[in-house]
Amino acid sequence: MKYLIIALTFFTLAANAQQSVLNKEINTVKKSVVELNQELYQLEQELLSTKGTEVAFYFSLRGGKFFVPLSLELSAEGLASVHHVYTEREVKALRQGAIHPVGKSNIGTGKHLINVQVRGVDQHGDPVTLAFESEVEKTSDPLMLEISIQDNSKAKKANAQLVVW
Amino acid sequence: MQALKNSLGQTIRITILLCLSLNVSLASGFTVGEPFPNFTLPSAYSGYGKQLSEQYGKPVMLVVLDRCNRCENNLIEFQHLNITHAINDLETWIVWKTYKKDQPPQISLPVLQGDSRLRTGWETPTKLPAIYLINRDGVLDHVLHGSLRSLRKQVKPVLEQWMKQE
Repeated sequence: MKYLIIALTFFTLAANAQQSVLNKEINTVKKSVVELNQELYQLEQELLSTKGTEVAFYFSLRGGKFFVPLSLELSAEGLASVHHVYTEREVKALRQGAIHPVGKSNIGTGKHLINVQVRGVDQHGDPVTLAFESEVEKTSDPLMLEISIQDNSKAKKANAQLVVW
Repeated sequence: MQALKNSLGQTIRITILLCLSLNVSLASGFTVGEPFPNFTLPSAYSGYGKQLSEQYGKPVMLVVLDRCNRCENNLIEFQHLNITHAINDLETWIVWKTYKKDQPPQISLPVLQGDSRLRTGWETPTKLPAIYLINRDGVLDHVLHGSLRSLRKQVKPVLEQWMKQE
């Protein structure tokens, strides 16, 4: 035990003396980790984001008088959940006709039930959730889906639907 | 003996490297002088979410609360500071987290839900409560820790000095 303590003290002192060398090594390791991370991310994207499984989600707001979106959640079996929180600036852009690219994900070919939940407030400022499920079929072609919120003036409320591009 | 020496040396070396890299990685998210990681948080009420990157060009004071149940009385000072420095574009956001039946503070400042599953890019700091002063370039200039009471006292001179530079 005594020798172990002496050895540890000795090597700790030695380690201190080599601090500048260690700092350089740390920086090199950090740089390597960042580079490795980038490479892994690229590899992951290449492996996962093949055209055959790609699904892209978009969000649009037509009108915006009866509904103001605050957040959006998309889910389906076998699909990594996609969500977004809307800021005032984003909603302003949506009202002016912008289409928001919510995100891309991957899904296998075949029929899928997409669950959509759009939380927001109505014209009175009361919380409202527009929720629906829609079945879509994924083929080998990229799938592009638009969650469209439209004002219904007659009913004085907004409707949500899933549009396949 | 030589083998033991080498082995021990290597172990210590690796341990030091690991500790240092762990320390760097843990601190990297909130390091003074470095850009504050961008995040989006939903409102604790039925309001718009907030995204840090949208505020670039404005100084931001981020007040991250510990447990708070309708603690608006403890936040009035921050509201006053925000009003005082509004002329210099100061934005003050309160980050609140849910705990059991706690209710968020009712205050005119934006109250964001820090532990929402809808959050993006936000990692709750380990030391709470805390105040982060993020400059117009999105760089973290000051971090203050302590109880809410001590933070109220601490922040005023720091903020005044900081806003002069801003």
